[in-house]
Amino acid sequence: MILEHAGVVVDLPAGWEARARTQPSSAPGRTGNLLLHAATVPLPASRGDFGSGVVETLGPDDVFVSLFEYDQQDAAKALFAEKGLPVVRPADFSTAVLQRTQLDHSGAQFFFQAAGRAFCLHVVLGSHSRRSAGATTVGRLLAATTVKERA
Amino acid sequence: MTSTRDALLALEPGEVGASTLSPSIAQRAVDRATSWLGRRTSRRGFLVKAGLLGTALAVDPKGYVLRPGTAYAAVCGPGASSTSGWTVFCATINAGANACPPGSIAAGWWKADGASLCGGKARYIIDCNATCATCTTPGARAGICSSSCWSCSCQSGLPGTCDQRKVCCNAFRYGQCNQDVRQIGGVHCRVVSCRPPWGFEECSTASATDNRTRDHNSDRLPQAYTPITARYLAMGEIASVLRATVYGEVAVGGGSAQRYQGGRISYRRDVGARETVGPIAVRFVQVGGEAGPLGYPISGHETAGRGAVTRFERGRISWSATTGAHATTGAIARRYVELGAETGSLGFPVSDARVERDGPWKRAGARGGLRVEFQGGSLVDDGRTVVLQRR
Repeated sequence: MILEHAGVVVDLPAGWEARARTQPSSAPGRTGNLLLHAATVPLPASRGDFGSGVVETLGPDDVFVSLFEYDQQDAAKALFAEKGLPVVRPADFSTAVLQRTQLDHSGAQFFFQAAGRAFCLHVVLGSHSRRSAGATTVGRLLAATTVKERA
Repeated sequence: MTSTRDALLALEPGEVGASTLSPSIAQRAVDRATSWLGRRTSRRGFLVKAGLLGTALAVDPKGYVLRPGTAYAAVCGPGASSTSGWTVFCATINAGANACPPGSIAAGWWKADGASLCGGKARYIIDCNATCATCTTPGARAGICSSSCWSCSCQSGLPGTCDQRKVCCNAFRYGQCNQDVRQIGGVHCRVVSCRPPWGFEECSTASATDNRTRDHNSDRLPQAYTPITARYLAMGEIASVLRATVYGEVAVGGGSAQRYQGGRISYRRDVGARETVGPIAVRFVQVGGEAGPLGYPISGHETAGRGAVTRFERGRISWSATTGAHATTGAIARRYVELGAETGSLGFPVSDARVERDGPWKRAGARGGLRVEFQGGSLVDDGRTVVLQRR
């Protein structure tokens, strides 16, 4: 099943749910920036952009992913110097890399640019001790994800 | 009839979605929730209840189930315990100042919509992250250096406050601010604002939202949207000359007052909300503030000649770079205004009122008076008249 929105295409592997939107003009901030959420659990309608409301529902083997786009001119900044979607490794995960630290949850965060667009990829695993499997699960999703230039 | 899977994938306006979850996983989620809610409920009723319950559980699951809220806990809002995993407010740990502490920088922000603390508009939360004070971490891919390099260390549970959230523990970066800094430390604390942070910090406009944090607060921050808040916002809030709040509002002299890094706003229903700024605010507090001889301010910060003035119910404070800030009150203040005040021949006051027991002005039988020195002379109040003495 393919999800395509605002220049990001995900050929969703089995066992995922994904949703995407762009920042509407009615809200403060730059319009048109993409936010993509994907998880191995059902995504509730009300979610924080970096996962609150979802991560609390993760089981030990579950994964949540947020792909958050910044303003286009941000891509020129040092924070986004890395190019291309990251390859996620188990060593990237830590119980401290979370918006809100929670018992045994584990997170990883990557800033990068792709197709001239600036992104943060934030991954939350339900269990730090299962980070090897979690990294593999995320890897499958990222391998099926393509970022195109912003229209 | 809507299927379970479709109902759980109900999309928000402007949202697209897809699911390859197996029906059993979706059903397990339903089963988990319905076990809380009982089985005798309609699907519509279930979804409504599930949404409400989800919010409460997400904010403070243990507290929601095990104990009723207390008034004091409500001051700091949900998720205020040390185990909640959220980060403390800067006001809690920074002597009441809603500002990044020394050694930290704004690293990113998000908003919570419909916040009562911001008059129903968006409330912005800005993460102040530690700096990599002692080292950087080669190859770090998260924009965060190793915790051994941070300018602060992880702690929680500060005494004397209901804001027991964590200090400098979370290695997370929202990423909109100070993007030229490739590596920073963990989140030291959080600043709140009713104005977008790109107006007062080095931040971009990429908007993130987390409405679950809408009511997070500290007992060292303002507790409500008041006329003082409205005046502060109208002045430009943190970006104004007042800069950040210092603690919350206090009741004083029949009204209320709020301290800021750069001044003060005083409010009483009959005079409204008025600011005092900089050295004038400092002097105002030194002479007793709203409950002192000057009373409440009845003007804002006004330019006067080569300085500034704020008028009060019973006097004024005048300031210039060469004379500093000095108060005049009562009959001397009235006479000073008659003589043209700061732009008249007397110029700015160079002293506050001091008691003078004797002098050439003294009438027979008078017990002494008050003298204020000005650049161009003195005014002496003997209790019946105000005498002008030119230099």
